Amino acid sequence: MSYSMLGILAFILVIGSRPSAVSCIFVANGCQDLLESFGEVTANFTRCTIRNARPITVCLACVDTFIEVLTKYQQILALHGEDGTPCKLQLINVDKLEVVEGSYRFVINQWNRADCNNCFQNQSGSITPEANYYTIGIREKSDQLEACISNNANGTDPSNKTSGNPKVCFNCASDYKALNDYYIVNKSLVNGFCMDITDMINTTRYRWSQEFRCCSEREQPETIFLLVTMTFCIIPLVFYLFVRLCTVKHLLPISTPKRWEHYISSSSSTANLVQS
Amino acid sequence: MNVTDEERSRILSRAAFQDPDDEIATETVRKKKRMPIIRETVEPPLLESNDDNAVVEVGSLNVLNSNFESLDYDICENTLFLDEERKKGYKFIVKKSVARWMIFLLIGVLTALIGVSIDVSISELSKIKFAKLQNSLNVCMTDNCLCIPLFIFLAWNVIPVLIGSTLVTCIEPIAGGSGIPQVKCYLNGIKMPRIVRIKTLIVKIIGVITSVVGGLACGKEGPMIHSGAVVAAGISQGKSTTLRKDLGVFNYFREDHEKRDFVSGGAAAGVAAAFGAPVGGVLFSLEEGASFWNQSLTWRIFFASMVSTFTLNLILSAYHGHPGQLSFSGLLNFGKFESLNYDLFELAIFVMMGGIGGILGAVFNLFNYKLTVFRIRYVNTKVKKIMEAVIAAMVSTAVPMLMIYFINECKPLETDPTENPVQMFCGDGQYNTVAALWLQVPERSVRALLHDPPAALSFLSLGLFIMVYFLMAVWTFGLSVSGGLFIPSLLIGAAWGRFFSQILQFIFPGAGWIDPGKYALIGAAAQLGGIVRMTISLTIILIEATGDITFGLPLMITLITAKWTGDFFSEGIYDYHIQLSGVPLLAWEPPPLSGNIYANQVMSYPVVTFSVVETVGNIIDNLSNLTHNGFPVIDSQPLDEVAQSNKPTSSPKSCGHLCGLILRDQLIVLLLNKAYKYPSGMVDQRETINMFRNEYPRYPRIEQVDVAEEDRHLKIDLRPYMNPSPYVVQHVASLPRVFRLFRALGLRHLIIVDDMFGVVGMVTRKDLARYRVWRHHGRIGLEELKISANFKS
Repeated sequence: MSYSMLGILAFILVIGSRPSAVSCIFVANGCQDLLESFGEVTANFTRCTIRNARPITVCLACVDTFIEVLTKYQQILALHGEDGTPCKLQLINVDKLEVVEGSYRFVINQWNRADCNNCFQNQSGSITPEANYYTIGIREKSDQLEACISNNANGTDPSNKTSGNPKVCFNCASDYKALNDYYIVNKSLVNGFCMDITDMINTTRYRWSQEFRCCSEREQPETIFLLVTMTFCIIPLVFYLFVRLCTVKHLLPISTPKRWEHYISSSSSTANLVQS
Repeated sequence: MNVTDEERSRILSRAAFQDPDDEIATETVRKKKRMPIIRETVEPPLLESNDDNAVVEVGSLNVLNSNFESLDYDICENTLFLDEERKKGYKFIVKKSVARWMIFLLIGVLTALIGVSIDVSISELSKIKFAKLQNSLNVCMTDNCLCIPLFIFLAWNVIPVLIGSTLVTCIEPIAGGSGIPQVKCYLNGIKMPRIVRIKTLIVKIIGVITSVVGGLACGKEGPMIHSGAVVAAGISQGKSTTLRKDLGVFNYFREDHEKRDFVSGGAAAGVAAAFGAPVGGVLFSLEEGASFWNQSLTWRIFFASMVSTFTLNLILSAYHGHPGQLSFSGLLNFGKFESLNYDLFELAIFVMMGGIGGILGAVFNLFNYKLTVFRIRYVNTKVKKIMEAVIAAMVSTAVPMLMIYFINECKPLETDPTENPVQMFCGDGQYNTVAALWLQVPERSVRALLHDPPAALSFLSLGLFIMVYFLMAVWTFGLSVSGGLFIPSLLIGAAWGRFFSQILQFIFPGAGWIDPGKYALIGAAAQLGGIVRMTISLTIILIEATGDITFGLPLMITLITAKWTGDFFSEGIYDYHIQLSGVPLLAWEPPPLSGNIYANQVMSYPVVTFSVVETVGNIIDNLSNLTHNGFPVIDSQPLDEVAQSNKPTSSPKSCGHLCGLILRDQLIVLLLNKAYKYPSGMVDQRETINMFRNEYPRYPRIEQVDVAEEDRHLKIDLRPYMNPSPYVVQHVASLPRVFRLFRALGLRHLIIVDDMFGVVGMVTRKDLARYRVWRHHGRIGLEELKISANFKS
């Protein structure tokens, strides 16, 4: 971004926050104002993320505040104060506490841990508040599924966890499968989705499997399989029994190597014979 | 008439110390002096023994196979050898030295290459197998066709095992099993037939790949040691009898002394490649062949081990995509531990775990011993052996599938470290943990057990896995396939170590010092120590594989406890297999309290001798009728009759004065080269020591020697070819003395002489090895083994 654009942006923002400020290309009232507005936008972002913590909708809800934080920080880095010194030298890297950098890093960290960049379109290397194609697609499918579920879950008691809801399972299966497949296929294409989408998918899957019990049809006893495996387990016993009963045992002949003891015994026995 | 043992020992001890001129000799001795001399020509009557026609069932622990010979470690310094030395000079010594270093370098590199090829083959094949299985399982879960993945799994298990087992059984049976007992025996100084042939190597490599891919409970580390030994023996000789090629190099290394040194280096390089433990490799060779060791050999072996580890590391890192990162120092990789800290009180827990490992190891060994005896007695044809291996593969398919089917333990997908997670009956986004444990190569399972977060597996699944895998490992070792024992032991140990840590977690909830990975590692060490009972080398191998020397103290304490506990109940597993094969292994030390057994009891008597100038006919007859391999050479001076008659008849009769020792192989080579054509006393110009070296190591048999009838009266002068100064020991020497001399020098024959220094008897390995010490339940005793010539095992 060129300095002129920054200046104009700063001008507009300053006008917006301090109606009585003296209008000037450079920041009015020094870099302290910048610092205050930076504090405000950071607070806004933090408040937004905490509000959207469960279920996770951090990325989609707080993208505007995030962009504000980014711009403010860029201003701090780029603009000059009244006396001509850059705000960067006054605010950044001046002390050991590093509050400004720390807060900025916190915001960036939060954003990256949730992989929020994956949900938005990129324009010339920077993020825009518009969700990208895949995010829009998956949210559509999710909304469709939600509509189907709410249609079919009317008659049942949602607090009854054990019985499940076969109506939902049957009618909404295609919507669920569409959503699931879309997620699986595109997950690897686009480096993954942001945490909002992942959390949404997890919750949907949990509800599908555990709440509505739609997966219990997988657990059907397979008799052929069981019979075959049990047979495999019995075969070794049969084999060993057969081998035990039908094999002739070999015997090892023991050889007596010639030792001197054998000769003495014979000579002493002859000695005894002669003596007696 | 039988003589009582008491009387016999009295006579023997008196013979040892009898001085014919002793004034206080007893009446009995004086009476004996008047007995007629038993002439040598009359065949002395043998005692009618009720041991004649004695038979023993195969599969006994107390029988030695008399067909095993010692290696000729002692150098035969006959005139040919001295001629060569004189001619070649110091330049020859330098050339030999340089050649030795080059060969050790090659040994290291080639062993590493073999290790890499085994690892890569197993990796690639397993990847394909488990990917196919995963797809099939995921599809068939919903379509109710579970028999299809079962049959895919079955095909992938049975076909490789069938191939491997057929190769081992039909082509080279010595390549079966782990290979470590055979290498141990070779380093002990026993000539193990066919152990270092190229055919054995090829069968072993293919065998181990097929066994591991076929899902049997075996590992690839033991076969690496054997492969290293074969590579070393092959390269150092410069010729291959299997391939019938003689490169004509390294002629001076074609003798048992040099070959054994190279094989020690090869075994060390194999250990280094298998575990990433160069020092462990050196110590393994040291532990097994310690008696005949020298420092320069240690240095060269260490060089070979380091080269082996480094080469393996380089190639495997490149294969895994990070060339130059050098993070794969061995085939067995425990992975990187973040921290292996332990508190002092945990040492007591480690000792307890060592005890448990020892007991479990003793149980393992006893079960396997009984099973091996059963196999020796009843599973004795080729077809039965192959069928047994195939059935084991089938059960290795059925049991995991049953466990995966019945145990429905699910964990969310993001936490899984496996390559092919299988969903089975779990919800979407989850995977079955039991499938994750079974459907991967055993090394990865060990790594998973060492590094998974706590509570990754429940008590039920872990407990069941331990029991099932233990039984499968007991069953698999001893099948007619190539495969080692290290990985299954480590896996069983890691599993019960983790189980133990989960119990501890249950008893002390919230304790920060309970790290499941650490306890899994200790459990693995304890189990391995309890089964194989190796001492120094195992400790160092595990320390190097872990990569953390500070964890050395717990490992050593655990291994020591496991060994002592296990030894209280049973032998080590390799010892059982060696004893069942009837191999005459000599222990590290002579049996204790055996000082009252004298050389004249140990030796074989009478001994067949040749005179210095012997007729061809006599030589051929003796070689054909007897199975002896060493013959003392005596001079033809008449024995001093008076001195002979003054000897009490209760001492052994000597044949003559000793001049040297000649071997059967040397005699056969002489006969083949028609040495009798040349007048005695002159060594022909064209005869050199290479005449013998060319036939090494597989000398022809006496049946292949063809001598015309008219040549039978010709004489050969044995003096240029015999060993002029063989080791001798007097007949009154005690058993420990004879044992120490024999073992420390690596002898094959030890001649026993009487008071006049005439030859009376010969001691060979079988004569010494039959005195074996047993240690059971804290007691020690000495037993004497029987010897059999027609061993079928």
